[in-house]
Amino acid sequence: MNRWDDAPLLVDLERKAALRLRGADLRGAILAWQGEVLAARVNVDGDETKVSLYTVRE
Amino acid sequence: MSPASSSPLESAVSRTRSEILLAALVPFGLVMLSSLGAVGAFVSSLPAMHVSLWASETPSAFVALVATGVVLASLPRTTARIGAALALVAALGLAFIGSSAFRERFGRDLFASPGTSIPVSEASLTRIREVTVPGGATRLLLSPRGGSFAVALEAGDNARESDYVVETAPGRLSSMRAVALEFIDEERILVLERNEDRAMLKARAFDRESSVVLHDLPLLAGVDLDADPSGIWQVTGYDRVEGALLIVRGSFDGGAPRETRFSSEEDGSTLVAVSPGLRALVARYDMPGLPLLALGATPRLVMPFRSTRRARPRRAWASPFSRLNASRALLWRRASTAPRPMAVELVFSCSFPSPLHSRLSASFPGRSMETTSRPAADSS
Repeated sequence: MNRWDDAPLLVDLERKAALRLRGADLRGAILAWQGEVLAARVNVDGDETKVSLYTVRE
Repeated sequence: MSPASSSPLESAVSRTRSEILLAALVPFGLVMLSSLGAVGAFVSSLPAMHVSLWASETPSAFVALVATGVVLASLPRTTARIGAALALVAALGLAFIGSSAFRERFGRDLFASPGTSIPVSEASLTRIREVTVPGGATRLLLSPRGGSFAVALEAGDNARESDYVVETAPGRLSSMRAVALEFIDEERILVLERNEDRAMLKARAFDRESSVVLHDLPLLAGVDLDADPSGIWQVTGYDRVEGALLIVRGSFDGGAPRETRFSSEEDGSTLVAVSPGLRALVARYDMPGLPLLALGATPRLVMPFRSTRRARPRRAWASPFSRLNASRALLWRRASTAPRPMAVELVFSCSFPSPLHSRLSASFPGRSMETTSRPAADSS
């Protein structure tokens, strides 16, 4: 079982591959993934939202 | 010769034998317990899970064994003391079988179906940019190539619409109000706007200078949009008035949209229906304690709803399964190419220490249902 505080795991069912993300603290973030781009949303103090965009490299 | 007339030597020998027997029995029982690991090689993991759940959720069996052991130990007869030792060993064995350590070692997910293991590899992230949006966001959307994003800001519980913030160019934000929103490509978005008691589906360019009305439809609960790179759009939601999951599918190139309804009133147990032309999945699960759970799924939406048909009478007996309730349903997909793979995960709540997972995956369009694939990390 993946630990709740472990690095997020992106599962690509089409390729039957899973990627464990390194290089950013994404705990608690809502993620959106399209191709090589990953977006992460983190609420800050409830009245502000930070959206970070990353490139994903295997 | 009666026991009363036996010599002190014979009595001492007899007592010594029983003590030796007792002294050997407990370690032997512990050795047998420790050898339960070998049993796992011969017993399927699913029955092991069932037995473990029964043991963990039937503490009365453990208490009864301990009580029996205490009663037998208080009796003067040697055979009773042997019985007490056996009861103690059985109680320890039951406690071990009911432990989470036993389940982790010998059991497996009750709802997982056989599937290939998915290898996990490392991926590094490099930040491209970070954008601050005023307000708390509840949803995050990303354009097909990742050039733009949109977030839905928090709305009241009864709000039919949400305020969306769309990044129309790197660092440039635009606000709009809509029931739902989805990216079509890097320049256009699909927007469902409320129009009094109806809803209007539009394709809108980022600059807002041009928009095309695609369809007029009733207000739906749990509405979701999808835009396919091949030029197909889709609206999904639950029509409370009709009591049906509604799927409307059309083309940006024109033509009459096609509507399909999946009634939630239909009877059926463990029925999985796939409509290949509409890329929709309707799955019904007849579950203890929850007469009928139906999941209407599109590539992004899973909406559980309960049938209104009359609930079955409660069962007189209880099993570990009777305490399961589907607490949430999640759906994942990777929306870069078609056909789009999707997976449905049901997370059940029960007295089991960690959530039990059930996953179904399917590729659309197509009739085939794939068996579950579990990330290798899940088994660690």
